[in-house]
Amino acid sequence: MTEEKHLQWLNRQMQTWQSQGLVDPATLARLQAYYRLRAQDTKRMPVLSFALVIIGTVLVLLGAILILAKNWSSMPRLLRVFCSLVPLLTGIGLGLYTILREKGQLWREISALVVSIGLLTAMAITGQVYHVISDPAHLFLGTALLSLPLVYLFSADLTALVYLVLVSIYLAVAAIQQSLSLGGILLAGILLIGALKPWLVLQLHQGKLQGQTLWLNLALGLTGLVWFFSMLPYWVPWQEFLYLYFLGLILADAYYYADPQDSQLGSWPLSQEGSEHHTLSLLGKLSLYFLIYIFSFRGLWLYQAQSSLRPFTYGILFVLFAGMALLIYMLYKQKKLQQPDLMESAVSGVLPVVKWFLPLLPPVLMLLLQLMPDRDTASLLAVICFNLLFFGIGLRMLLRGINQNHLGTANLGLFFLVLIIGTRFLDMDFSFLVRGLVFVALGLGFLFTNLWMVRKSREKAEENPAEPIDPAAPKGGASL
Amino acid sequence: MTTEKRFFFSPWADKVSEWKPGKMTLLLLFLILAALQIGLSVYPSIRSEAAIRSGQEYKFKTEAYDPADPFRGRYLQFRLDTTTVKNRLEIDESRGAGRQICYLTIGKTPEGIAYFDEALPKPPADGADYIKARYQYGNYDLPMEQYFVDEAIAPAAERAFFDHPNDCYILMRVQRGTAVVTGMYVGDLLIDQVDF
Repeated sequence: MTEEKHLQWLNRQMQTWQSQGLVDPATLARLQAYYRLRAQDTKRMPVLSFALVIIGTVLVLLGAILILAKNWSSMPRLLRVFCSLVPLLTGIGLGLYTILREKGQLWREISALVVSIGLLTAMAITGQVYHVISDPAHLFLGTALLSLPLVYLFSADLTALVYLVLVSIYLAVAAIQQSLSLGGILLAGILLIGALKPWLVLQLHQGKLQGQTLWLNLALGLTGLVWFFSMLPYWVPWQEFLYLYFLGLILADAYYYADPQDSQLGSWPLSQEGSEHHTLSLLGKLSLYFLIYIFSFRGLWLYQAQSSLRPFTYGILFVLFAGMALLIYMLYKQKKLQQPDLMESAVSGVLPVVKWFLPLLPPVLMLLLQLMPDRDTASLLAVICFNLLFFGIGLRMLLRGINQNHLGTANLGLFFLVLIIGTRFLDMDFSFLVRGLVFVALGLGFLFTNLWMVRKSREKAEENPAEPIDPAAPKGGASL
Repeated sequence: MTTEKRFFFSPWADKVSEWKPGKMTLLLLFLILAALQIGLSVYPSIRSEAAIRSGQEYKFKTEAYDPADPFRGRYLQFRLDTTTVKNRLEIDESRGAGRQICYLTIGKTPEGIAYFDEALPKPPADGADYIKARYQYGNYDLPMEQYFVDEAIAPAAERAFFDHPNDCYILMRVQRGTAVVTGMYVGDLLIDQVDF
């Protein structure tokens, strides 16, 4: 007997218990909820088996697409139209079988996936048969919209992924073709990505979006990114919006998944590492590092200085800043978000409200620099700020990696340092003299810091000869 | 073991979670969806078939070359001449709207060769045949630019077009805005049936 049949039997028994007055309705509801959750857990197939079945299905579908793409022009036209519908009809047949025989999640996933790919095939091959290709954006949009109900009906994770991929392609194609206005892309993104939101919320509520399904969050984050980039040609202050988008990913991850008991979750990029399984946050963090690196180039700021902001942009930015500040404050209060340690040490003892606002400091700084009348000075200031910020991130990571004996963090920090130093060494936007002086100053700074630390360590050792050496002390400068 | 977290939307989600569609409800919803999916997939074919059976036939002069599409296979890319089009669009360039949907009417030369006559902002009121296109900063993007062929004959077909650059045509059937390419010809020979 399968798990589902066990559950059906148990449900029937429970109805009998209730009718016999053995249990009250509240207890019955709790029991049903408990066994439903257990059934969901036990229904999960081994990951390898699940992956093999899915890969096999995808390969068969891709093979079917290639066979149809061969173009059997010797066959009658209507027969070719029918052939183009075969994958879709197969998927619908599988779906009916799944419902009628009350099959499990794997069957639901496969049938929904076959239907989605079948829709794409049918629409594409119709264009082949009649030699008329409608707007490619419509092909992907149509398939996405017709696939979406399957996500809800079958609770199909893979179809949700296919939906996000199709929506991403649609938005990208619409942007390339410029077939939609800014308002159109904005609205399309909100509606199409938002259409998946109720399902995601329900999954989250039922505790299903854990572990292996977190890739869906990664896809969601990337779809949002495609949406954002599809609007870029229309936007002037893209730096602020892009920064806020990535920060939003980190905050969303903290909001939904951070556990106050776990000090490593939902943290700000400069804080604890080791939260790789938080895909939204990871995507946000890595993208923010990359963004800050991009902002360290002067050419970008000089180019940006040629444009000006539209008045309504200030309003949008103000609303976003306020919303994010509120969310950050709330997350700090709930202990779901950690303070960036580099920044925290810089502002320790300052009013808490300043601390809460810290993650928003870079975009506010960008905005202020954009508004400065002397664009040349503004670009120089911006470059100095973001170079220092990126350098600080790398240094902090390196030191923390050494202190915590975490090789990955130390290496990433070292990579960031090498990257920013190497980039500035080769940067042609600054004169050789300026670069030379900055490098000499930085090098001397490191040498003197190291010397100071070594002396202090010796003095401490002489004062307390019996005291054991602190294993957490910075080890980087000990060799000089 | 999964753990349930509580959010501000949790009470609402509790209520929705409690709703579990029965087998018949699920079946009914799926059948409605399947009908919609099949219907919308088949609809373009029905319109195209109607155009093939009752649409007016036009012969356009063209030339072609041979790329490939990962989904639809090998095809001959062709370009129909739109330099003859008289632009009747009311384009407000000040709004940055250098692109819009337009409707191209079709004319015929005394030799029976078709050409695009006028670009209109709306379908012609007199019931004349037209093709829906996209105006983009002085150019017209047409929905028919590819003629899909069997992969075995595509390279040879391309060579045939290069060898006879002034003697290549496509036949198109048009009915109420729906256009279908019914054949591509080198001289009088249908490209699919040419024995290379």
